[in-house]
Amino acid sequence: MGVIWNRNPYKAMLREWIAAYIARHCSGRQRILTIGDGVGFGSLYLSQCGHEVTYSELSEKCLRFARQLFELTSEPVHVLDNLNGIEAGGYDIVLCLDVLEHVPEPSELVEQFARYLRPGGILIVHAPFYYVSRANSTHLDSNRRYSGDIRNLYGKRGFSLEDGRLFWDPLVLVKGTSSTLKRPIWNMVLRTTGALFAVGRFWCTPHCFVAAQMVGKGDSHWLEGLSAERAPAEPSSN
Amino acid sequence: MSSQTASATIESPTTKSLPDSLPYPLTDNEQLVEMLVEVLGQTTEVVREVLYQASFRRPSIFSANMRS
Repeated sequence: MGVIWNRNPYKAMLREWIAAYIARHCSGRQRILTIGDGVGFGSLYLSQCGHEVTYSELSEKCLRFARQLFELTSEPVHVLDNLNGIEAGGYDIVLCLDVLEHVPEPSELVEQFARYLRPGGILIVHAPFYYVSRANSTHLDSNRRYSGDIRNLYGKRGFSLEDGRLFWDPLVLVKGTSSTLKRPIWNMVLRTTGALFAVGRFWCTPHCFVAAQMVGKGDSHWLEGLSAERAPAEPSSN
Repeated sequence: MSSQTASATIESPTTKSLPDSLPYPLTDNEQLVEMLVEVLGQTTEVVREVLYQASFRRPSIFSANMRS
């Protein structure tokens, strides 16, 4: 359930890392397009950070939740229910987390991201292509061929690796050739990490195990008032 | 827990101050349940139970999808 995932400490840390990265490396208010942001907390947070955010999502239920969320918090997030008509070159940043592994042809979507971004714009992306398991039935096995692959998926669409977290969660890529590679050694480490993920193209059991440990754990800290059995009884109408 | 609280800020020498990374209403179960009831068309009890189960789940290789 997207709401639970969004208050997972790991997810909260990722939101903060992304916002901090943007604050450090991009000056001023950024035009950000979020792709498949689910229930919308990523978009909400970046809007609260002072950016101009456009949220997009295809799931009708997620869209309805997100619209409620933006209204409740009075955040001026622009909502799109499809990717048609997005202004070419209109965004400084495209944020796409945990989406590409679901789509039949991720490379086509990455190509669209390149169109949405201005030259020098940033793609912040995470796609656990290796994370194919019984419970992740919408993670396509056919996409495992992209696990650990920067060159074919992103490089051929005009992106260069700029930065990221150690296990590519997320990666930061720049549209065009990176001219400001501030951490060349770190960039090399990230590329080397790709070899680990490349193993996931053929054998992903250890990858799935680690990923499940990292993100699959629910947080019992938030249980208050949730169990239906423990919920307060509705007042009687008698 | 049901009232909206002002966002805390995180100061770092290398970044501007950032809002709390758990934005409201993520920390407000009552509000979340209300929103999910509206979206899912389920009863409050069902939504509470689903959230309870999802929050209590232990890590597993078969853990549920992150987004769904």
